[in-house]
Amino acid sequence: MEDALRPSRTRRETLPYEEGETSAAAQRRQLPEVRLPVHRAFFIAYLVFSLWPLLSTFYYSLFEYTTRNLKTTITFAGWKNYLSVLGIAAGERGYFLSYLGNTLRIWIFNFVPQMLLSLLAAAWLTDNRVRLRGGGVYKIMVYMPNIITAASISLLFCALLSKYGPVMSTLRSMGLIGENADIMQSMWGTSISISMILFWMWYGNTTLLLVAGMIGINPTLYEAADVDGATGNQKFFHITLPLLKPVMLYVLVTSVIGGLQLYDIPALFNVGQGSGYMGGPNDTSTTVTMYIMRLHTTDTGRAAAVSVLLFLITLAISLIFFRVFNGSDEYEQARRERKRRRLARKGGAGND
Amino acid sequence: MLLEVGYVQKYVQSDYLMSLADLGITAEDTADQFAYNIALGSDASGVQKASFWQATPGCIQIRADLAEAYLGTTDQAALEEIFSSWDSILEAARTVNEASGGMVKLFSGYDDLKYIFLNGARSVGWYDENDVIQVDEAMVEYMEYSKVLYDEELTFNTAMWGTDWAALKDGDGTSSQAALAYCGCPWYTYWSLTETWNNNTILVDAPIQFYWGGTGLAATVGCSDTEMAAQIIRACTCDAEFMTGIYEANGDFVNNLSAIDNIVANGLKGTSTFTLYGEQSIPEFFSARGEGIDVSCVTAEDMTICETLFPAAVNAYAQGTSDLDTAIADFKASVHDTYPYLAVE
Repeated sequence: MEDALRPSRTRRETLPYEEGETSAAAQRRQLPEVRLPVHRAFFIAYLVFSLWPLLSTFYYSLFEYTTRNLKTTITFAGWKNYLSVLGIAAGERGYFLSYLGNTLRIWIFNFVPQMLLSLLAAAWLTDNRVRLRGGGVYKIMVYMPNIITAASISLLFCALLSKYGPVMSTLRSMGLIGENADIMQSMWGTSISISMILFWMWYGNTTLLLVAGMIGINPTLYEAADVDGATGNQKFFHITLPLLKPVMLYVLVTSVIGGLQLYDIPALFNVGQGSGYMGGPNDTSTTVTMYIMRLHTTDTGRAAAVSVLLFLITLAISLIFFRVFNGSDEYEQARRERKRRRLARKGGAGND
Repeated sequence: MLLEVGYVQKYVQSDYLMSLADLGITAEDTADQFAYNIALGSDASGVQKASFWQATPGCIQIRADLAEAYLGTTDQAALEEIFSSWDSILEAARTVNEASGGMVKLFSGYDDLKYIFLNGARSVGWYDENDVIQVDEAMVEYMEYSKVLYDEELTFNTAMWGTDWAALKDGDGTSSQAALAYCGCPWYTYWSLTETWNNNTILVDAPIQFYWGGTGLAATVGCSDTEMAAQIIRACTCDAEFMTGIYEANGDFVNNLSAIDNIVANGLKGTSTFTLYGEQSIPEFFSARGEGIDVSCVTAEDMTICETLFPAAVNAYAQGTSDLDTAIADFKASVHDTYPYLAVE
């Protein structure tokens, strides 16, 4: 009987203590020296698979590649590739800028509705009072489009939305659109269609991430708010959203990266002669990565230059997001708290 | 290796192919080939490196039942007359469009006409000897013609090889839309026309003689078995008997004048069950065409320019997105972007 009531301190008492040592330090000393080279493995992998390719891409962008009749000549060109890709050099057209515009246009029209709808869906799925029935089934259904390969989806929608395809034919027979209406010939038609495909594919992913983030919020906060008489809206805007900032930051940054590197859907959606390198009506749905693919077989130098520029733009936007979110109150408080604890530990250790 | 005609010149002009002479195939062996095929497979100094087993002179294929209904005739000579000039084709297009109330149009898309212009009407290549990009007058003519066809809604504006382009082959003209004529060539006739066109096709000449396609055989410099390579090339592209056998197996219009004469004279039929309307026969029709095709303007960069970059310019102009000068300027800029060694001016 007495044994059962004994607290677990018994374990600690059996450890041989050294003079003035805390129990935590003693335990650490007793553990076998298992040095998992986890940090080292991560850095090696990062070095080989991320940093080295990045640096060598930058290196390749400094050379001019000319491929003619299967023969490639490589000459050092300095900044020439960047100037020609941006249209600054004489006689060159800044295709990169117009393709960047296409990419951003497609991304924005996908991203904004996606975030709004995902927040709404996540709020409904985690709200105790709404108590959505079939929430589990909905989560599965919402995630399904993400499982199908983007290439298949793109071809499917291309066939559905083609001029004489099922959707357009039905609308035409109902008299809702004109004889010659064709999504594939309209810049905004193609752009919005691609954005909608992306939205449909990715909003499930975003919803589930936000649900995970919302579940991590302490429910007692909501209960306290209820006690104070807060409405649903107030709870959402003053509790949920601020505490969702870390997850939002992750979602935003990954969305930016994925959005700016968009390739598979526009490359298959409206490509006219089927080359996959020039999109939409009159090159208006070509994205930056399609441009890279187009260049890289013949002109690795310019393809590398475009890649580096894309990297810099993605980096810039991500840094802006980090700044905006890290500058928030919660982060400041959390940071100050960590700093205080670190100093206390150091000061405390010195005092022993 | 097999070389599609769109990029055969790129390989022929490179240093990676062995010349036929090095393989032991002499000019005597290739004497029976169509002249334009020999030119397509030879480099700038006239050394032949690629050899074609098919000849692909172009034609226009007309669906007999729709021609009866909307053009009022299935007589081959009368239809030849209608398709003999671009103006008469335009008139016919208007007639058909009106008579059918828009359900049947003469061509599936102005894109279908591109090979007539690209492969038959051009007199200069896409760039001159100083590597400056140039646009042949015939190309501007094609752009203007496409615009007229688009503005007057005389075609369905499809792109070749698309699903809607294919669907228009099988329409019946009353409950579903259909196209009356398609540009074609020997392999197209037996390979791309559907059952609706069996015993229902009339072949006529296009306003300009052109060619469309073909695949060349060549041996690379690093070839490990030049004996075998030479045997294959000689059999498939020079040997009249073997090539007659190719025709009998799949109906290919082979690149051998004596084989074709033999096939026509003896009325040999292949295993293909596809027949033309009336008394026309595919080899007989094409045997009279194939001479006099000029391929001097073919360049190594033709595939991308003709298949992707130029149709983009045609679409932009025809649909009114850009005016003519902007479309041509955009086209030249895109060619320069793809091939930086070609200058815009």
